[in-house]
Amino acid sequence: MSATPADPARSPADPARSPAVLRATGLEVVHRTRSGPLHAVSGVDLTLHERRTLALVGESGSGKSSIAKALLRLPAPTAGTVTLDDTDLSALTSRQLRALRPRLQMVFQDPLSSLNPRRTVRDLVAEPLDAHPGLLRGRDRLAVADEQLTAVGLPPELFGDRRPEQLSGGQAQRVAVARALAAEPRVLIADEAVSALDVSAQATVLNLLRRLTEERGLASLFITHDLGVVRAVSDDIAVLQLGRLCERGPTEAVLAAPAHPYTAALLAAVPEPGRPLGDTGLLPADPPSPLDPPSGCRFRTRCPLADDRCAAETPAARPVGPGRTVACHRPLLPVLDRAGFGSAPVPAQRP
Amino acid sequence: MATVEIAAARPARTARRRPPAAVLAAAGWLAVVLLAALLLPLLPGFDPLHGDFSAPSAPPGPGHWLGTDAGGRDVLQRTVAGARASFAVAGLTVAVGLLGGGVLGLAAGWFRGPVDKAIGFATDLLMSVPTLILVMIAVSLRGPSLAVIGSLIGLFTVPAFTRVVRAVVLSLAERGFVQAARMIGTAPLRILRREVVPHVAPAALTFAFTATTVAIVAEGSLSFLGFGLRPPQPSWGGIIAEGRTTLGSAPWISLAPAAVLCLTVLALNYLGEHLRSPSRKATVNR
Repeated sequence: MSATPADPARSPADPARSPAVLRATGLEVVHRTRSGPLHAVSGVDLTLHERRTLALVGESGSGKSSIAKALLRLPAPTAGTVTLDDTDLSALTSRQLRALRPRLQMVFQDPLSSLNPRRTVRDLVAEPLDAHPGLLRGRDRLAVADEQLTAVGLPPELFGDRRPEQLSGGQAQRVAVARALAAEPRVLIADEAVSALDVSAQATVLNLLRRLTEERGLASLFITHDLGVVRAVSDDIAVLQLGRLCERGPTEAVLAAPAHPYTAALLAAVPEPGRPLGDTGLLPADPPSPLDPPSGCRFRTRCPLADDRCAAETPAARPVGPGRTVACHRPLLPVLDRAGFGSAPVPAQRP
Repeated sequence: MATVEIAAARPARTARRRPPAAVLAAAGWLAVVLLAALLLPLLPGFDPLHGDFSAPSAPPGPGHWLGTDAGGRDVLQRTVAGARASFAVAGLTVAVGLLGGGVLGLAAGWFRGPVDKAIGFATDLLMSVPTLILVMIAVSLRGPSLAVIGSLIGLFTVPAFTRVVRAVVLSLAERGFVQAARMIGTAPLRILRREVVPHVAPAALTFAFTATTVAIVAEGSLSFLGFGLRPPQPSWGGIIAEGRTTLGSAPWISLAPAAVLCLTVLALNYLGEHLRSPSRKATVNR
């Protein structure tokens, strides 16, 4: 926990030199509801790089989990493409997709629910090996399970024969991580994976995810509503507001000086010891309904800076620093020209 | 930190409470009836079809513990032989119901949408058919046999089995571990077999107790109405029917098998109720 993302010993290489593993472009997720179409995700582009963690941050209902499901095609997004190591997932048959699934693993929010209560820990961790015997490569399935349990800090001789009900929340979540590791993933998605845990267990799991991303060369997506844990786990951050990305960039830079008023408001809402809880600066409007999102910028109804242009035009992502973009007509940081935007992890789609 | 967690997590031992006395008594009764039905016919001198004409309608006493019927046949022996018929019908019923309802319920709950709608419609249709009347028609056409009666009663328990199974599958599909299995890329049939069926089984087996009682009572009603197994082949309903004309002079002929039937149904219901009760650690709800 002592290391910070700026620590060169821990922080991975420049994103430009770290290969992209998972690329999502133009993701749209529309849920059909009784009250009409619900635009959960609108035009989101994401890239996950090897040995790097991207934190996807936003309020409840901003579409974070919809993005995770869309990436896994559980179910498939309404529109947009997801490519994993240059394989377009939408072009695969269901059998091909199933064969590729081990490379795309997810850890769910509720650790206990994601483990079959009738099976032992060892058996649960071996599940990917049972589904894909090719992963065994001649090894014994239980030996592989024990190896992964050790990797997540659960001694197999103590935990291997337990059942999920005999685990604490943090232990159960580590079992879920071990199961994901047994699949030998390229991408690890953690959807609110520590939100249900108490603080000490959170720290254990966060450190574990951080370490595994490095050691196993994973490309990680860490989904959370809690900006407090973002600093500890991620290299990059993408802020989601009502289904659209409003700001993204290196975690340290974004948290130090947010460019989007929404990011600034989220940061002001994070409680910190020794600091009085700041005014979030939000207008007292209710968060708008995704069934009927505001025209133009979807944040404008709560934004203290909004003007007529924000209602008329959807803001495009524009560069505000090295590897940073913001989708805002009235950003808190000056917009750079294209020259200052050479080393971005993801090029802005409409510069 | 890890050591603290390990120390805190006790090896949880689920307290197994002793089942209540009524449940033990029910299980004991069922064991007696089943063992008698299985073993007594193997004894020499067991002959429920031929009577001792020197002692017609003899009251219960030594020699004939439950008396004899108008033909001098031993009522106990006939009741035991009738148990075989009743349990054979019930077994067939449960087999047909479990298989049919299991497959339909799994399909409806797993695929949902149009499949669910179609299965729901078919089972509703089946439920609207008056069961006993249809079985009576079938028996008059095909003749009375354990196979016809058992499989038809079984057919009519399919909708109920389907509903029980479908409900559990629907609730499971939302559970994290089924989602996790999909995420891992486990094949659908394997998910059904490994993640879904083991969680459906307790509910379905519990319901099998109810279906057993339904079958026993239905077979008894059919035999009583003369649409069951042909005399002299004994079945519980048939023996009760035979004795009804002499209820005044020789009540044991009807009352003995009727009491056994009642007690057996009661015992099955008690056991089924117990298996279903939340006081027992139900795997279904976890």
